[in-house]
Amino acid sequence: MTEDEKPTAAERTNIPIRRIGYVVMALFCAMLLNVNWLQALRAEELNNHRWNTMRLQDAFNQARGPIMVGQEAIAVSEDTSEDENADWEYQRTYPQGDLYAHIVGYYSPAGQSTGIEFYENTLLSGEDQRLAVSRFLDTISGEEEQGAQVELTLDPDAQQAAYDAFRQVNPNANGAAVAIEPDTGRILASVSVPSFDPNQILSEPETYTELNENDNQPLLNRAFNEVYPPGSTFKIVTAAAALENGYSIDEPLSGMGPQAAPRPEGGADLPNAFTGACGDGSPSIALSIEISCNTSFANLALDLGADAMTEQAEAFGFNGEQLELPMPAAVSSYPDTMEGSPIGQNQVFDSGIGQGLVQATPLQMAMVAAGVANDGRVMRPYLVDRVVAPDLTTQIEANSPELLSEAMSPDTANAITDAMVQVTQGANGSGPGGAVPGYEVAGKTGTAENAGPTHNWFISFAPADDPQIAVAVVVENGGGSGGSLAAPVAAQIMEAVLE
Amino acid sequence: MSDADTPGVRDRVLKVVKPLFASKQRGIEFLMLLLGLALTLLYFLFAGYGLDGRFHGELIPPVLVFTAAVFGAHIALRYLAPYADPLILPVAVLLNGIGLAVQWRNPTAVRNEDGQITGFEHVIGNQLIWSILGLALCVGVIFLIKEPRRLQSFPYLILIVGFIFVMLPLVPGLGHAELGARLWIRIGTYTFQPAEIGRICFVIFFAAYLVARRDALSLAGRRIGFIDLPRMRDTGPLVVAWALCILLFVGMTDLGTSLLIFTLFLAMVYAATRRISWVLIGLTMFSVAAVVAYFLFGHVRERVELLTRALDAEYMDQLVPCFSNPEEQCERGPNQIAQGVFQLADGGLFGTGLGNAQGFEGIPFINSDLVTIMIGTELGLTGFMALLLLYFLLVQRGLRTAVASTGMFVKLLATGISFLVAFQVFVVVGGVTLMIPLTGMTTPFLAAGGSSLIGTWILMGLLIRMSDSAYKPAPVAIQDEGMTQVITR
Repeated sequence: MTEDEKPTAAERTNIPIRRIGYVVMALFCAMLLNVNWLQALRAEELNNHRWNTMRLQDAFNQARGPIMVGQEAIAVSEDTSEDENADWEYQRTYPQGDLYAHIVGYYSPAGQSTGIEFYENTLLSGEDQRLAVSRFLDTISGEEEQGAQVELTLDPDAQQAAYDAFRQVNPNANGAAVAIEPDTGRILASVSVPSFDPNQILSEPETYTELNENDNQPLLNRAFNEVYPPGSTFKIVTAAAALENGYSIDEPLSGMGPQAAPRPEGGADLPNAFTGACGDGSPSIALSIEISCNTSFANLALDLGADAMTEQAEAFGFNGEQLELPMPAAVSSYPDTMEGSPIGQNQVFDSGIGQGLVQATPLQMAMVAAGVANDGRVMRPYLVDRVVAPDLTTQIEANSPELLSEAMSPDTANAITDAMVQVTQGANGSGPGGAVPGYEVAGKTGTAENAGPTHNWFISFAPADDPQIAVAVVVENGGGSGGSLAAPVAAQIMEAVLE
Repeated sequence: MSDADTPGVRDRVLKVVKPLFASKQRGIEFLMLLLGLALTLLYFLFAGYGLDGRFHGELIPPVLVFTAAVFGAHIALRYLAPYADPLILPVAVLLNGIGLAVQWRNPTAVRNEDGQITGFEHVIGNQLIWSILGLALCVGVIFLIKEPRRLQSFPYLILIVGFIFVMLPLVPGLGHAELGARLWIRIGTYTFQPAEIGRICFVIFFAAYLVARRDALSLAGRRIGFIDLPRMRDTGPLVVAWALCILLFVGMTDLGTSLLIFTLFLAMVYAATRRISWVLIGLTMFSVAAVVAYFLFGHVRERVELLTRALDAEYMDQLVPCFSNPEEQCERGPNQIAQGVFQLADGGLFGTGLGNAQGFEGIPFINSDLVTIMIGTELGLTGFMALLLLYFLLVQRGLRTAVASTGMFVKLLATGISFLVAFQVFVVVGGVTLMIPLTGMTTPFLAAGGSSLIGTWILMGLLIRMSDSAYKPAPVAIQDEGMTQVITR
């Protein structure tokens, strides 16, 4: 063969064969890219697809991470491989039953999952990308794969106290209690009654239907997701608005606190909850808080006007963003319009005492108390303290305190605190039941009118000079007063944390 | 004579492949086979352990039987095709071994009289028998066909045989339809997809036909833009191939084979003529036919909808007559492609681990059309990519054989076989990963059933034989006879 010899036809065919080789290479590259797209880039999206039943099956065949409160696990996956009757390799159980039901929720094969179990699912199940390394190491070392551990901010003593107190003071009532650490926003206790046993929902799926149809709505988390008229507890917001707008706490409100105040746009006069005028008819704001004067606060709100009231309510979190704790909480509202037009003077008047159009969750009112306790700084409430990988040393996620809003100046907060201390300690205080022996407690009662018997509120924090805990308690349709029905519950929760 | 160490200009321009293996490579093949068989055994044992946490000693005998058959083939190659490419057989064996393990790993559900699942039956019997038969046929092909170029002697006879195989399912009494596609024949309890054998005949025919007609087909007709169009009167064969595929498509609703054979034809025409215009004309014709079919036939629209809306949650919400009771309405739910993709996503980067994935038995066609899903799920993205690269390696060895071969027919045949395997993998994997409509094609070596295994092993036999011919050193003259040249032809 020589260099200039003409190539044969067969040899010339090598060129198209090689080009076909490139086409084949392109086909394989397309397949490789496509599987990367599906299994790496889109994996998380596909794993959370509404119709993907794999997710649930997986969830029950591998150990989900525990949910911890303090040193105690309130949701655990138990290995059932020894149990021949078990449907799944792991059984999720909730050792504390109904105590944490609304917080921890449940993870059900039927697909209706709630609470931390639902909102932190990808971490608990280990699907989260941040756990990929840990999962890979587990695979290599042959260890059973496990999800991350979620640690909550709840204080087990406060939670237990809240639940017990509710059952003790109001054995048959519905209601809720929320406790917050004022300077961080950590939620220390959150109880909603009636509660339910998540273990039962998992073992007997028909329980869910029964609970769902129950008139008392045991599945509803009243602490975060039900709104009530806040009644007199809202007077703290009105007082803050007044002090931020030039009023001072001890200055007499001339003629603003009679026995009954006429409504600006007509209608029945607004009476006080007690017989007689507030003091001499010209009470200070401090006295108005102590004895829970209706007429002076309604007149104050009218005097301040809808804009100032709205601004102050929003500074506490009303009308704000939906909080994610991580479960979403209902937004409390201070409407400044009704059906498109600005609210009338009567509505502004009523809002001064937390009636009318004002609606608040127990969580929101706890934030009001916490805001006053923390020198006017309202911290963003949160439930998940941190998330650690299954090895219990690698921290995956940690929440730190975050300022939600500055609701008032420290001076205003201190002035209101002093007045609130008189609610539990003063001679004519409306909430002595909220006192905790040995501590100075700042509180405010509330008895909210609604279609049925009154809702009974108490918000408080203690110790007044160095607040450790802020509480809101509501007894739904208690029909009594906040001082008698709600204050003792608040006192027991605070006591559990303070001691 | 150009110096052996410095490739000549001519060689570089034409990218001629010198015989890659001047010596026999059976030792490498033996080691690679050991590796492939060891991986097969591990796949079996890990899958068994993953399923129920036990060591399955009963899996060793079947693997040993397979091993014995493989070494039988290896020893046969030492005598029959000593210069053959050392990687084709090991890669094919590994793929076949994984196929066996995967078929065992996905058991058939055993149901009681009420239709409830009471247990699972793990069997590899049939698949193992077909594998051994396939290996035997592979060796048989190598033994019978000493000179691959002889196959070009009877192109039309082979074409007719191919047609008969493809059309067999249409024979009343013999044919057997599943889900509207009449692709099977049934003898006793065995079903067989004869198109798998038919397509081998088509490859051989195409190669033989193109060798004979390539001169005419290469002639340029008019030139439009930068493309030389072929002469109009030479387009006959293309039209025939096109018509055949349309026939397959409409008559048997076999979209997969239709697409495969037509694309194969185009690739081989291109290899023979080097005229890209053939490919462009062919693709245009196929596209037109596909668009027309889309508007004419409901089942084509359905296939396309299955692809485009496979992961659409609202599509899954739609009510359709229940499968169990057509009187009632059920939600459509995720179809098998969506279920497969959910499985893949569940497998993620590193997989669920062999034997650990849940819910395979609920997915239709998981052991045939969607067999790669099982591997992609349990071995993850990593394993799926490794599997694809394994196929790519096989195809690459085939194309290398084509380049190294002498003789037009052998080159075209090796190219055709390699392309056939590559495109078949593309049609299947593309179908289950939402690139193209799912067409119901078998995955070479992996899918359940004998026809695919046998067909693919015959192709491997042809490739091995051709690689042996390609790499075999030219006969050396016994005595120096001066100017006398030895001509191999």
